[in-house]
Amino acid sequence: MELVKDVTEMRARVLATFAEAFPGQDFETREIPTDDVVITLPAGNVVAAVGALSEKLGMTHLTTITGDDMGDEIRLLYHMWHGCGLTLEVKLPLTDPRIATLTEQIPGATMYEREISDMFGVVFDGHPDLSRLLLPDSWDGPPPMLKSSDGAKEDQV
Amino acid sequence: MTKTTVPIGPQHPLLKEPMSFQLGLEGERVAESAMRIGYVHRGIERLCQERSYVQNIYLLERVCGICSHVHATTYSRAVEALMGVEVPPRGVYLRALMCEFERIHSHLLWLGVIARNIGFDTIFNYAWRDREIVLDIMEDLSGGRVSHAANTLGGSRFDLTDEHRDKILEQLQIMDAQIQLLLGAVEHERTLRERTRGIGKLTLEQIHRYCVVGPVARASGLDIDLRRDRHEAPYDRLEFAVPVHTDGDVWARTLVRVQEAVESVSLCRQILNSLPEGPVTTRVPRRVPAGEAISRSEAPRGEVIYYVRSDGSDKPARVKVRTPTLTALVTLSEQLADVQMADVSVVLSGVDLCIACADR
Amino acid sequence: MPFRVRSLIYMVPQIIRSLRAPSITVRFPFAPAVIPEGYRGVVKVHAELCRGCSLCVRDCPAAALELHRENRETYRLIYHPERCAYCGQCELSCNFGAIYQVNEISRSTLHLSELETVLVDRKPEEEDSEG
Ligand code: SF4
Ligand code: SF4
Repeated sequence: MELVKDVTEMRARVLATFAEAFPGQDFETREIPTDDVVITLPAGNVVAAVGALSEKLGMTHLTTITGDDMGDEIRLLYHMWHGCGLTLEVKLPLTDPRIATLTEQIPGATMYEREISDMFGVVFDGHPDLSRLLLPDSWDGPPPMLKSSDGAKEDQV
Repeated sequence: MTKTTVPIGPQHPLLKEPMSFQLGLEGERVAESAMRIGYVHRGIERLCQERSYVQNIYLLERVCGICSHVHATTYSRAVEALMGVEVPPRGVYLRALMCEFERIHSHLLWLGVIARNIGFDTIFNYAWRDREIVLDIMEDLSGGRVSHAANTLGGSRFDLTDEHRDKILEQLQIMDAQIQLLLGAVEHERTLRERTRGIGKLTLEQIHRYCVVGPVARASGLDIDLRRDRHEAPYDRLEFAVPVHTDGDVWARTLVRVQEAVESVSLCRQILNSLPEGPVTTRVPRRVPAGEAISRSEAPRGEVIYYVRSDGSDKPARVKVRTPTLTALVTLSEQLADVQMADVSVVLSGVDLCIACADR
Repeated sequence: MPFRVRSLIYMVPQIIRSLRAPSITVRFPFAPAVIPEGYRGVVKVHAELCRGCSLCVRDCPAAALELHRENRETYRLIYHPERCAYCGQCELSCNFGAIYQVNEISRSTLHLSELETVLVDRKPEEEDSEG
């Protein structure tokens, strides 16, 4: 398996792949320590982007998905690794966040998506089983990682 | 044939930590399995947002009870990257030294667990007795056997004197002999081989599909070890082999782990012999500038990733942890398919589950 | 067969080693516990060095330290061993070398309140005599 050497090469190769897959679109990119490229995508494009990456560059390793409540929107970060890090960033609205599931391309995303649906209330359309992963079945509060939630009460612990 | 459902867990002698399985049996064979985790979810990610950067080191050390140091190190590295601070070389070496001790400790502990589960108590006793040597060294170095508290932002909290180093080298000599003995036993002993061969199989293709990392992936032929492949200090200056096997069963995982422990002993020795002079810590600014950082490292069970976002205040705005066990959990239903009920415990311990890690 | 014999030969030195090794277990309350020198145990303080700056309180991850301050000269530094994580961050944070860990383990008790320890009890008139 051929690994990408550094961040510059990663950025160039990924942008070239995306230019082919999504002609006419511009992507905002930034580099963050320690060797990671972050590329911002429209929410609808993630599945196609991951498909293109695995087809053209052989990138199939999804490290994890991070959910992050920014206050006015929810950010999902799809961390991948192939010699150096690549992160696909997606922004979702706070009310009724929805995105297509990745489990078809990458079955390994099952757990990560379930965790985010637990913690942030994001709905992954097409996910085979979005049941509770970490939260207890009796949990009835809002998703606990949202800023608007004030965490667990005494009797929910 | 009628199906019998056997519940295992959340509290069960087979499991060291709480998780629950529903196994649907057809005769003696497992036909289907369902799994539930979350019984030890402590909300660490949320707690991190309510504590200062310094306090979080000790909180994150408690994500895992076995590889505690690597969590603190990875988190510290992310925060140091945010601050733009460079750890002095001696500090980097000492951190890596602790990580390698931890790897030996983790793999020997695991070897004991699997030997116990297949009913081979001699290996269990030997492995756990020899693990004590590493624990003693770590206690000597940092003052704690499991929670080492050996990290601080900007470097390492402990330092070594020359006498100390000689003493550790001596202890490593004993360790080396013992671990060779264990390796010999694992490689040649028929009981172990026959009990673990061919069960819990994962192909390389499945490893790719499920994004599995660490020794489980290397036992199926995925040649990735972040210590080598990220070319980071100090591993770029040390010599070590990355054991890879292609069988993909529990037997291959046993070999990978024990051989890795052998490599780690040699790594510890190299680190001790080439320890650079100088300070172990550097001064860090009190404030962490706004920004985000991702840090990865190879824990005993595979890749650990930390994502830290700072908004410029004294507490992180988001800390995300992904522990390697979570990747292996997805594959359990495939591994359990069609194994004998008596082998379930071997398959479960074969992936080296750390539920507390996965739940956080 | 040949390996059976070999594993027996392997075991002989192990058996001898185990037989000759001294017992590691200590009958604790009756015999003194052997604690290594660098062990991070309970927290102590050099009361005369403490300035009440509360840096240790701020950095303690387990909220095991409390500083009750009435005014500049009057304050109490209180330690709760039952909450302490024995991490040693307080020692690292203190700029005056006042707080430190010793290799002792905390006592067990049936009443939580007995554990609470007043590390520093500073009153203005005592300042001179305390040095
Ligand atoms: S050792 Fe750690 S937990 Fe205990 S008082 Fe000091 S800072 Fe707090
Ligand atoms: S022990 Fe040290 S850090 Fe704590 S209040 Fe006293 S002087 Fe300040």
